[in-house]
Amino acid sequence: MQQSQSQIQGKSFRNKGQTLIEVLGGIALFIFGVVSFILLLNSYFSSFKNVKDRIIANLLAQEGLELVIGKRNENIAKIANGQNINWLEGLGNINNQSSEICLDYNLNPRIDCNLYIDSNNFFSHKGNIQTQYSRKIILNSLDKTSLANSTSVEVISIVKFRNQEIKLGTIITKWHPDIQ
Amino acid sequence: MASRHSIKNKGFTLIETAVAILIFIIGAYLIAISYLNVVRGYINTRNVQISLSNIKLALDKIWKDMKYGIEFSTTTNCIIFKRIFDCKDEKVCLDGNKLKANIAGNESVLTDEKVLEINSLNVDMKGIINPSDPNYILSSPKLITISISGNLILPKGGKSPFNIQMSVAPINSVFPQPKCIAQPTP
Repeated sequence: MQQSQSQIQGKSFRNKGQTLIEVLGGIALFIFGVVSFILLLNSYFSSFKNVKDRIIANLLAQEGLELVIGKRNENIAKIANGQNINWLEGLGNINNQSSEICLDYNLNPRIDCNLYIDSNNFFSHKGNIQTQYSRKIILNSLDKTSLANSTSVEVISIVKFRNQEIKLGTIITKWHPDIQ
Repeated sequence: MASRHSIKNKGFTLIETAVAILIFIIGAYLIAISYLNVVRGYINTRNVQISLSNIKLALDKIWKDMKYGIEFSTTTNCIIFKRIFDCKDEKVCLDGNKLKANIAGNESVLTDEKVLEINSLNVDMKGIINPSDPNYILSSPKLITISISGNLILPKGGKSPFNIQMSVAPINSVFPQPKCIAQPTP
């Protein structure tokens, strides 16, 4: 008799179930969890859309290094043509050990480091349409002398866009058979 | 015994059931919308990645060939030069909406029209001291800049505009008489 009473009590407890509030709370939690997970996944995929901007920024940073090499080569050609100029002429204040410049494909230093789209559809430091990118080029002498007297220089190209930054570097030297 | 039956048969009221079904439907709708957004985002992202890989690969190839190229010239929508390591003429042109490379008469398509629509190719050359001087160091461009603009093709006719630029300072532009080396024919 005692056993059957406890069985009855057990069944009664088992049949009590959850209240509607508890069930609703459970469902709400479940939905919240699933939606959060999906939104997280969506934002993960959306972050890949950033790739386009990063590739453009990477190319602009790489271009920064090429601009300095191109300017050095232009100076070397001018020296070979008899002009009395420094191999780093036009690359900022070369009397210091370090120099910061804004240089675009026109090979003329500018004050404004923001990049614009110019009338020829090129990224430039002077133009009509401002882009989200800005580029700064830093030159550091590796010879503990001024840049003008150095023979090897570290070049760092930094492109900034939104809250991100791409930084590339290389080393250029004064080497050329005609200007030893 | 009577109380057991009473508990078992109590069930939910119509209102309770209706509210529960309504909440379930709203939840299912939210999940379905979110899932569709994820799928759409994934497809778009995959297309953008394919398009960007395509243009990146094309630009890497052009950059590498130009870096070691000599005797550069331009025509409308084309850049022409000679490859120093095999003496072959290379011509990179915008043909329709795609980039093509022609190496010694062999043409290859660099970009896929299905994922990339290229609208313009602009080339600029700087640093030429004297274009008619026989000394190559004076007549060669020291910096060549290429700007490519167009659209990345997305599903359902969507397009994402891009404007990509790269510059090349050719290695041989500072040598007086750079000569290419013709490869012996096998």
